[in-house]
Amino acid sequence: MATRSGVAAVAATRKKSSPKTLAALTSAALALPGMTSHSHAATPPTKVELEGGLFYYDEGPDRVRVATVQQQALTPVGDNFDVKLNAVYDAISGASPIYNVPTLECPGGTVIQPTTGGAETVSGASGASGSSTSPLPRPRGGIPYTQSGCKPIGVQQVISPTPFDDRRVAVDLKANHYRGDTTFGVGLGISDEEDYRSNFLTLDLRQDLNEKRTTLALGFSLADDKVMPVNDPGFIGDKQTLQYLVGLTQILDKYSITQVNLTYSNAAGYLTDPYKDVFVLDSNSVVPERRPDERGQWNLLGRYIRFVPALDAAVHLDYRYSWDDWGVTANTLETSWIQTLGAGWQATFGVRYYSQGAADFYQDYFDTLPSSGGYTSDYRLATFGALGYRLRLSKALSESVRIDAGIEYYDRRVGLALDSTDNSDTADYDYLTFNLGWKVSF
Amino acid sequence: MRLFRFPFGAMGSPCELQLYAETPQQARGPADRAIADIALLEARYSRYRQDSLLSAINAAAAQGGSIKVDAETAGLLDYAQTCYDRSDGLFDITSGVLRRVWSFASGRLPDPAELAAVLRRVGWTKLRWHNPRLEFPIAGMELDFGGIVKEYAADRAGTLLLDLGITHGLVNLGGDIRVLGPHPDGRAWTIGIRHPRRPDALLGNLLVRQGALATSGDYERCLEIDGRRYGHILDPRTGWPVEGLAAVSVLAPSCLVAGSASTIAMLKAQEGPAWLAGLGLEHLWVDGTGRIGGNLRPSAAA
Repeated sequence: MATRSGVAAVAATRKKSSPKTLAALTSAALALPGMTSHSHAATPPTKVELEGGLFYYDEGPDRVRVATVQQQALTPVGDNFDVKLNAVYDAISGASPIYNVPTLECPGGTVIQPTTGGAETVSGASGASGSSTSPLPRPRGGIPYTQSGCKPIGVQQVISPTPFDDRRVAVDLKANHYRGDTTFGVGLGISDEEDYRSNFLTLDLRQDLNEKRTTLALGFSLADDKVMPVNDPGFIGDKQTLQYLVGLTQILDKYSITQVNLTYSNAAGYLTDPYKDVFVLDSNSVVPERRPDERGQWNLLGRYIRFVPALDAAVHLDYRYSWDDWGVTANTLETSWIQTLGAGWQATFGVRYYSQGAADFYQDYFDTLPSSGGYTSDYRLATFGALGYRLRLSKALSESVRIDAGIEYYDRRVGLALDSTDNSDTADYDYLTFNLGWKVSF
Repeated sequence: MRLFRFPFGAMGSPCELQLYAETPQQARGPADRAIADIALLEARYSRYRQDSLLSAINAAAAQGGSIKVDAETAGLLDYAQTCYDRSDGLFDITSGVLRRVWSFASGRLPDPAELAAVLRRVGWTKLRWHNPRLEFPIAGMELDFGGIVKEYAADRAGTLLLDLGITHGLVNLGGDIRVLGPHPDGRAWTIGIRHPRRPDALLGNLLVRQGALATSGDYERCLEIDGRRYGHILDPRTGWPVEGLAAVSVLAPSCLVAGSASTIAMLKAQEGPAWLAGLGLEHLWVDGTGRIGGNLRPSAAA
């Protein structure tokens, strides 16, 4: 009687492709609420991870290019520790702007452009810059330009005519200890170039609170740097930087996280860039820039991340405000969209806007040198704005191998600054970066 | 860290949480929340409670009506549909109504005419499921989330405990086990597998560090007549117990997948071992003659 029952019928069933069966069951199971964790709890990694990347940065013809190779290894040590070793090799070459000169219109209609006529050959080179008088033709009578009745009608950037070529090697080691809701991290590192050496130490603490819905982060770092300019043999500049961070991350609900970080850093010592000069109109001379020997800098970051389950995507929104006692203030607004495309593909598109107000002691060029305080014409301390666009594609080849490729375009324009009063475009430039990365875990 | 054990009853089975924490308070809070979540699911999907969500669905099913369901129930129905599709129609949440004619306590076989009548009301394809609306074109059907909800509850409890910071421990809901993580010293959990024919004996032990282990067997309820054994796992197409395997254990990342894979393998009977071998999950089967197979080998029970 039972022989005509289930057994016969079951024996006749078709077989289906079982690996597909497992994928179908797993994805239907994961679609149920509460099946996956949304917590970002700090847990030690359970696998060894190797990560590497190639980067290429290019500011365009005759300017700076950087090629970078990076390799990182992370391994768990026992149940409560992990250790991460990171190594970077940079090849930097090209030339960058070192100061600006005005274009003058003098009585009688003569236009004088101090950069022309060989000025670059004596003042520009990294390593050749110094307190050298430019061989500009003086106005009639030898009187200073500022008293000659000449008026500035524009500004031009002087790019170093002798390109530099440098190599940087950096290595850092970091260990984390996981103890319940607390994670401690200690890191040590060095970075070495022909003319710059940095040793640094980092300490950080993460504490999960409120059933891991809230994470408090405290950080401290100390860097001890030495500058040995190739244009001033025998001189060694020392610089110490202390940085403090306090941060709070809050899980708002199943789909969103917010984060606030406040950072203060204090740098003291030789903060001048030995390869940057200023042009002094009064004396027709190019002299090395000088910066205050202390800089206190505050940085506030607000971040919001939201997962959009209907589109299987996530949106990031970041805002940063920073200000310092050199008078530099900056606003950054950045947003990115991270889209899962299926079959292991993921695409990220990001847009960033940056606006900076100049340092108190910045001028494109100086009529006369200030009697006290610093003076700089470094384009990085000027007023400017920038727009950056970023696209990244990544693909998981298997559960343990992921590769990615990205491109970023960054367009820096004085006219993009929030409080730009200047419509000169001589300091404008743009750059492209490309990167390729891979990550393997086992 | 110390191990804290919290035995409780839910879903008609003895259950237990085993959690590692520094203090009793650190274990008690998460345990209470996990047990409350399991109780909530039981209240929602119990066949035995008149006020459950499932009873509301079955009220619509009895009349041949339709009902709009919430996202969680929709997820469970989607999962049930996937199981149906992937088991060639053997795993069917409409087959619970067969229990009305199979009374394992009565000691007698069902009347063939009654069985045939009930079979007309069994079959996933006889209902219409278009998220969020579930429609029963024929009256007298019944849904039963047994074989899904207990395993889902174990996974949910596991996720909840992990989110609350319990990373070493396990959830055991009547033998469906979700492991949160190994013992704090890294040792795997030793999980005994019941012998399908000797109630107080173990087949052996399995070592499990992560994931979930679920076991299906024909031994929980059965009927013996004239030396012939009739298990409670019924083929929804014939209404008769399947014959071939006595027990199947499957190890998977989630208890839900482990549970449905072991149940489908039982329903596949003689084809179960081959189906399991192709599935890609670690498993263990015992057939009616006591033969053991699969790629999981139990060690001798201590």
